[in-house]
Amino acid sequence: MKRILLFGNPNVGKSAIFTRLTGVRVVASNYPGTTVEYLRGKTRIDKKDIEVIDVPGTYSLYPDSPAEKVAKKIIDDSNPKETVIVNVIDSTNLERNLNLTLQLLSTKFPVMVLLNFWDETKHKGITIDSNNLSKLLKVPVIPTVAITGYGIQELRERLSEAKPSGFKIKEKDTWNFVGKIIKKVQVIEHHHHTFLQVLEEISTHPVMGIFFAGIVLLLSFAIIRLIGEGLIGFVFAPIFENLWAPVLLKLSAFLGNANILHKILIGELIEGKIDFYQSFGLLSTGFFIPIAAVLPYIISFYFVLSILEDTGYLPRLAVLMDRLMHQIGIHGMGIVPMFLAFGCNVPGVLATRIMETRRERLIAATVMSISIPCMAQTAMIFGLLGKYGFKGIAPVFLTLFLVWILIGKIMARYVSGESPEIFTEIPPYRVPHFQVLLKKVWLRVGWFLKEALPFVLIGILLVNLFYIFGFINFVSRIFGGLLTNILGIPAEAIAALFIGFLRKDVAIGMLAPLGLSMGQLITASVVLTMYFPCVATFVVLFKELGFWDTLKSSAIMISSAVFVGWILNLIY
Amino acid sequence: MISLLEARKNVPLIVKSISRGEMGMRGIGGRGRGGGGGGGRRNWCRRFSNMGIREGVIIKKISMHPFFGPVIVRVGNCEIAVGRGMASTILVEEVNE
Repeated sequence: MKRILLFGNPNVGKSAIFTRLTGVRVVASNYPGTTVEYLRGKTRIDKKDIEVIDVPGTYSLYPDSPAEKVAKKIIDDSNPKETVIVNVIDSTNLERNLNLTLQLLSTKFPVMVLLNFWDETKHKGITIDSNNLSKLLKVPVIPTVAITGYGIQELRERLSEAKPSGFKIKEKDTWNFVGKIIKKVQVIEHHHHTFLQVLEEISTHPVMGIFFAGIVLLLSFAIIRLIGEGLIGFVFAPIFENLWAPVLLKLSAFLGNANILHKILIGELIEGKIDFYQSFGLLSTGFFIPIAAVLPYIISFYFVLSILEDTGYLPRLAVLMDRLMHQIGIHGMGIVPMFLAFGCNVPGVLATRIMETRRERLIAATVMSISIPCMAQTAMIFGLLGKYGFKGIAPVFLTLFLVWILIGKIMARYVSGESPEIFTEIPPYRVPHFQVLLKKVWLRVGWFLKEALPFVLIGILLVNLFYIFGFINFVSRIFGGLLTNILGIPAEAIAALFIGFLRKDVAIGMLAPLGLSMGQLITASVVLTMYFPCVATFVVLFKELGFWDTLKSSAIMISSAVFVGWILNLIY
Repeated sequence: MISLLEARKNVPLIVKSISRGEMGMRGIGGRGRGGGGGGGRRNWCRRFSNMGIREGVIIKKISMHPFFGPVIVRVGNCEIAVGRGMASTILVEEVNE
């Protein structure tokens, strides 16, 4: 035996079992030719290294979604003589889970069944006769509790007992057969509602759920800020200031101050020192911004997202947001990329992959890049307009929200393709498994570094070159006059707009010393947020949407930014 | 036999059939297309069935979100959110206990 495939429905605790088996050496990769990710790791059983694959959650072997197609492909690409399928079942949902089990038993592979969440059956008044189930299915059946590790040792010891069961059952008879099995092995008694179940009811209630969601989201953002700023202030910024800056200063002295290589790599020295926010070199600002300013927020965002995901809150949020999201032609699950975009648009755009169709992805990515300010931008908007209080800040976010709805509505009307309805399981609330959670955050951050960081650096290099060779000045002189007339902000501020392509938050910062009026600041903040995504997001958009859709998306962004800026100029 | 949309909340309902009619095919957005999860009715029937919604099963309607929001259905020990268009194709009858 060389390989274990962990198969199961979504939300059955497969990842926790996977983590129990494999420890730390885990690789996440896209299955060849798809955007679906799956996890691979290694475990040692009987002094042999065995590959363990966490197959994407699937309800059946007749695939309906990209993830299920990958699950099917993994089976097709495995050798039945060297592979054992470990089928993880949610014991509180035996009936539905057995559908997949019977399909797996009909393959040539040796199968072993794990009854996970075994402890929860007691709270829910469910009794399952696992020995009898094992006899009926003709394969080993082991009760497990992945979070505590209960049953994992037995799984290791009895893995060799797994054998092909030789079941032959037609698709149409499967459910009948499941029904018969259930009658023989499962007894359900009435039980009282637990605290978590009361919470479950509240959180999907059409009215109370909204309040609950408000609290959860506020709390989430507070935690994200706390962790993000903590990481920047106490970890990343000190590392850059104390360790990296001296290295760069040495390099600067070595290169000599005036040549072009110095300009590209280090940028300008501010009062003889490296200023990581203003030097604009590839190794100074170019490294600092994605790693020390954005990455901490990515880490904290992924941490909170993983908690929301593993407790089971995300699908509930999706249900509540479904109506709102339909306004822009995507269903409730679209809230996930939107939520991420508030941290940074880059992972937001990457997360549009969870949407099923091209139309949904194009709408979600465009609308998000236009009207969702990332954490850095939000902070700068507050910095600029905070002194005016509510009447300064509210118009910015209100405008952005209206733009979000309007552009979404227009795109939903004119972008062709399908928008499926929401159809999702709402799993019970569960306490997340901390190790699984950390591993997930770690994998996601690694993925961000691999998928996004190189492109961000390339983008920054390009813009630096444009800037050094006067291209940006040239462009802002050509369009400056026109934009000044339309937007009603002075020419110096227009230069900030073009810098905005590099770093929007820095651009907003450039507006501070110009002494603009409140109306001008509001206009500039909105236009800056809308007109174009930062270079990092742009590169990722290009990667995810392809050339034509990025072009469409950009055209929508620029024209709508100018239009909205013009309207705001008329109002103020 | 009534559609799930018209059924009462929190009473046991037996699934009679998944409608073959065109209702619900219109779904949301997209120039009157959409619904069905990108793959026609057969496909969507199977998706129901994979989640445990099929003829003869007892389900409960937990809530229906306003303004054409999704319907929450309880099947066995789990809850499922179903878009209105898809939900309207589930035909049920109340079970008298």
